[in-house]
Amino acid sequence: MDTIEPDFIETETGNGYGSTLSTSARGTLDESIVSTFKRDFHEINDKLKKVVYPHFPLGSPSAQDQHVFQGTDLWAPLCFIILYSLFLSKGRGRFSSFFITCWLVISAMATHLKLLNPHEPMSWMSYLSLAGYCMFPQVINSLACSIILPLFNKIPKVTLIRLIVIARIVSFALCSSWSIISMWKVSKSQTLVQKYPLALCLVTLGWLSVIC
Amino acid sequence: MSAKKDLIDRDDDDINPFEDDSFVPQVTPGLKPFEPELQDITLETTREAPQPAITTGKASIFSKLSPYFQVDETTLKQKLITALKLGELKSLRDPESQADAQLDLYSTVWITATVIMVLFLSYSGKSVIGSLITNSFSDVIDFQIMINCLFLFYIYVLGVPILAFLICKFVFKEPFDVITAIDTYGVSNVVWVPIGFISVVTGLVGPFENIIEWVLVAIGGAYSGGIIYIQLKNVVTELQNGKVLLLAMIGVHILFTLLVRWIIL
Repeated sequence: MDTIEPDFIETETGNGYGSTLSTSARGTLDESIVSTFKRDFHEINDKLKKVVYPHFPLGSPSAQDQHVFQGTDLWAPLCFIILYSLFLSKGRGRFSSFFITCWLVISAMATHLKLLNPHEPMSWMSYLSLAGYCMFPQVINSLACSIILPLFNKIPKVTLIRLIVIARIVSFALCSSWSIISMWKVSKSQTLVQKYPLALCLVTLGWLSVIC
Repeated sequence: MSAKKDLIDRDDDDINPFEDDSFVPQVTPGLKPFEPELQDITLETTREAPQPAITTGKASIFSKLSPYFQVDETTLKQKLITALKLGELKSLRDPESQADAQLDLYSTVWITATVIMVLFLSYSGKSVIGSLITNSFSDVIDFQIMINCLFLFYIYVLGVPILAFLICKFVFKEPFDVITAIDTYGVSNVVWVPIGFISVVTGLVGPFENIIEWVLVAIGGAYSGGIIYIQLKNVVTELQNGKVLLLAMIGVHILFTLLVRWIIL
């Protein structure tokens, strides 16, 4: 036979939030690479809307959102960590240090949440995925601090270093607060014991953008 | 075909196509033979949310370690205040059940992480403050220092108690409370948090920076050593070779304090 049959028949499930749960549906062989990338991008965007986009931290996650949080998608965390490490290393050969540090930090966050909630339906991988999604504000922070703000330093005859440093600190404060609040919300952390380690990990990642 | 197999076939009313050579499949024109009925089968095409993995090995590791991380906020605060006041943590023991409610690994892990972060913050914060004052980018910050600091603190906090436990078990043939020791070493590190914050401003002092940093390190080393001694003196002096162990622990603590100075402060 000349034709390639799809691996399985994909049923259309039209929920209003896209197909965040059907991540493994990317196994189809009869679609173009562009379609696969488009679908993955939309899935990541759908989950980001629920986890870190600004409208979310102001509200509370619904039961449907909670189901989405249980997904174990690591595509987006991998992309975010690669981008974060690329922005910070700026080709100075420190990519691997940042890459490993990021994975260690989000693993520590996932382990902390799993140790405090061992009987919750969320698996360690789900927590890892959530922590990775909460890296998104830190990617913006690293882009601002390492790529965009240094451009102002290239303006001739003007020394703006003080302003650049202050802008970096402001960016760090805003983006870190954003990711910390998102992480607290999605992990349903209530007490200081639960919240503090998450905040510490995300502040560490944010601070690296200020100094590197 | 064996007699046993024939008996089985005779009991079964349906034709068995695998056993009966005379079976010929009836093919209806227009339909594929043996087409599976897909409409009634639930396809596992979606990544299901993971079920609570209580029975798996990984979950059991989390379940086993979890009690050491289930900390009450009030108990944790009391524990830190008692340690900083150089009081005995055993005084927090539940008088009725005699349970060591203050014993946990949460404080060891996260206090040590806090200390590493604060010390790195102080090291890098000096450069940031310097940039603000001089209006020029200061020295390039060595990211490797944070990793060195991480290894130094975690190896010290976990390594010394485990080494002491192994020496007691295999050399002295005596029991050693390793969990209490790890907990104590972790809590003693809390002293380095204020020292880290104070050392941020030492860059502003100018020529006295080096002296002040040595003084801060000496205070930190002595204070954390005092906390460890007060908590572990009963545990160590009960041992027959306790003095040797105590001297070794003091020696390692002095070495650790010097390494903190040379690596990060």
